[in-house]
Amino acid sequence: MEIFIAQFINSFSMGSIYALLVIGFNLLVLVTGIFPYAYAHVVVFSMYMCWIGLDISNNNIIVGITFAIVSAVALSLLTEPLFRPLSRRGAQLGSFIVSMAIGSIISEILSRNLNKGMGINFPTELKGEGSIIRFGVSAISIGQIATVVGSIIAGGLFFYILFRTKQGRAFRAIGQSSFNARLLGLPIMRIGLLVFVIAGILGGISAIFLSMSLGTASASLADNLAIKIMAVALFSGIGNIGGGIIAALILGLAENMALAYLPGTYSQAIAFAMIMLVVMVKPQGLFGTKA
Amino acid sequence: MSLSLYYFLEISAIFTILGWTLYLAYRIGQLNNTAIATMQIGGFISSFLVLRYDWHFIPALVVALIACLVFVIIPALALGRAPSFTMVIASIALIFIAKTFFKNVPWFGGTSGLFGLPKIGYLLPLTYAFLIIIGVGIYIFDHSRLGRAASIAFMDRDIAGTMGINFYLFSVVMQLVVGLMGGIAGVFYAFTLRTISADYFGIGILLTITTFVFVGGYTTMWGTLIFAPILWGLPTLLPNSMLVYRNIIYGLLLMFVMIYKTEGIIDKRLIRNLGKKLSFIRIKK
Amino acid sequence: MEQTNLLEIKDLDVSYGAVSALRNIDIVINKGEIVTLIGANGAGKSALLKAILGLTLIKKGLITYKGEDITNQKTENIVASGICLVPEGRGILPLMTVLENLQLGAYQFHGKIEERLEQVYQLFPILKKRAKQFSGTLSGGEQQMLSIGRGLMSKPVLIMLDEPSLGLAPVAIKELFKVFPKLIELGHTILLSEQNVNMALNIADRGYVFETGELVAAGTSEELKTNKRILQSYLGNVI
Repeated sequence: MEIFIAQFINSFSMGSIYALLVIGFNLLVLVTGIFPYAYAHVVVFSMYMCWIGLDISNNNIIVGITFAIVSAVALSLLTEPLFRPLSRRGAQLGSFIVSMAIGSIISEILSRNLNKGMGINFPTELKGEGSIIRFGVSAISIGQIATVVGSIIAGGLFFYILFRTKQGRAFRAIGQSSFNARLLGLPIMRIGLLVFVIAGILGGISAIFLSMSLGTASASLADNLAIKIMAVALFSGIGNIGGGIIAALILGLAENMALAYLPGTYSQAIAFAMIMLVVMVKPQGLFGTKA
Repeated sequence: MSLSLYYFLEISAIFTILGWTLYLAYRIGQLNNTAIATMQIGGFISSFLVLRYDWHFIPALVVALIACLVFVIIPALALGRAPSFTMVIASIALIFIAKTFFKNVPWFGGTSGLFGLPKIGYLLPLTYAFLIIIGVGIYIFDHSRLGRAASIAFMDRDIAGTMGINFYLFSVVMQLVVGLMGGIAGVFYAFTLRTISADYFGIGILLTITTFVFVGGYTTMWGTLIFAPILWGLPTLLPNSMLVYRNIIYGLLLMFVMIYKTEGIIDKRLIRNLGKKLSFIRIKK
Repeated sequence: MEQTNLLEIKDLDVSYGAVSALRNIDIVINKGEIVTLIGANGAGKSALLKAILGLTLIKKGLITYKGEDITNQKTENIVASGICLVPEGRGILPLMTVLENLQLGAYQFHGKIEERLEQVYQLFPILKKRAKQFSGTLSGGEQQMLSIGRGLMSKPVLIMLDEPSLGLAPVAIKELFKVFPKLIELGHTILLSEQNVNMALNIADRGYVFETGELVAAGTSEELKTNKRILQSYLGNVI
């Protein structure tokens, strides 16, 4: 029973990170109509920045967090003007190609210019491994609890914004009909910028939790994450924010179970299996696409 | 023939064939990356048969291509009606499924892959024979009724349906063709380099051929044919220190074209004007 | 001389790509009027309303509002300065509640919206009743009221309506048209585009007749009503 609880928290931890990532992804799809393949790359870049921050401040967590979030928002905003003309034209596939290009450029920079191209390792205190709650034969680290709690708070805040504020209403309105939203006098471009900022913040927060959970990062992590985000988004239905969270938790759970019972690399293949499964059975996604 | 010229000619042809898979799929409006997946299947299976079982090259090639078709048929049937995003994501997933398979199954050399493939003397002419046959096939397709149907389907699937075009069938057949072409490219790639490893295949190659097709021009087959050798060859002329920035340059070029001149450098108008100028020369004589 | 001229359109040309939708349009709308545009489907009435709101690129012509040039201005600025469009087909967001739709109408306003909301509820009590319902579940007539109410939330001076009677039952249409004089009383001006010529001319002060993108007749509604010959020759037997 304790093993199960520990595994559950474990998978919830990874799953909640995926959930934050897919929220950011779906938000961008819904409001700006682009396909942000490089979202994962922004997140990994932010992880590197967090590492740099920790490095120069002697492992001061506040500095690390600041570096992560600020870099994610900055990079996100930097890419916004590249997507603007495509977003205006409604060129979704074109935006995928641009995003793939951006992702490749970020990957190249990560694998050459940062840390001389080697992967980075985060200090173990970050993982909170020292402080572990034990019960029976299993254990959960403070890091994992922090991840789950932090994600719930971030997610909760996001949903509050989405459903109880003026801006959130605007996001949903544009997502449903950008023509009618424009008619109402909604400043589409300004709102688009805001969405890139929010996606950046969510990305930065995810980067922090990823640093805590994985403990390492490398250029290849970005493509890896990108596929998982797309798998989750596709599985639940692209643009479906609520469904995405559920699918993210499913992925976290399935990966963890696979890790426990199957040889190492098969857990990576879970995401692919999800993609092919939903493609064969229900191509619009389990909960329906909203894009 | 110098080795670098040999490589240049081979890789240009291979990347042209790969680029044409993107071109063909996009003719009906789909972004289909499956060729990179079948590239691995074609390359690994043919290499395995030649290396471990001493098969001759041609039969190995044929079996590898059959394997590609088998791999691609079920996803093709499932993805025929899929919306564009689904096709993109699923085809990328196929790339990584193949990659994971070939990296983990020990027959194919694990992480280091297969190496020490024999030199095939007639590889270069054979590659170009395939290139010409495929090129002619695409030319005939483009100028036929099917080609026009594809252009209609590109603009709107449903309108195409009302004109009697079976989009599902079109899509499935296109995916089979893409899979086959990818397999051909993969076999030649493996036997040109004489080694093959799962690490060669990934988003990197995808970005490269996407750049060739969309910078060259995706509305005609000539864009890929002309710009694959140019965009591949030019960086090789640069000093080695600059070569590492090749992917960044591809990325920047691709972004620039997608934002400012989406149709690419060689578009239909250019071809028409060129055609007029050429026929004028003929008449003048 | 007092400026009664609220909106003035001079020599407007609008094209969608290579297709010309409007040619040489001259229109004047004065404060407190109800002006109607009549014409068959595709005659250009919708195109004009969209052009005024900045939704289409204008290459030739001038649109002035309250004396200022608003040709090709951004839609959000035009709406902020007091013009709203109640679009064809209602344009409500079905997956959002009635209240949320209304709240969206006041997006550009940064203060408390309770007062505006009350005004809208007074005009359309049914909206208050259905405030928490998803607007997709409302009837056609109720959706039309919601669309107008939403437009009112931005406190417009000029209210433009594109085919409000389309798809509504006759009873609903009658209810709807009863609201227009109330809106004028409240200080608004109305520009109405309608296929239902009878109802339009009954309620409007003046009208403009469109045919294939050009103005073919204009005058007070009395003049247009009695000049059935003009109307018949341009619109067929619609009276």
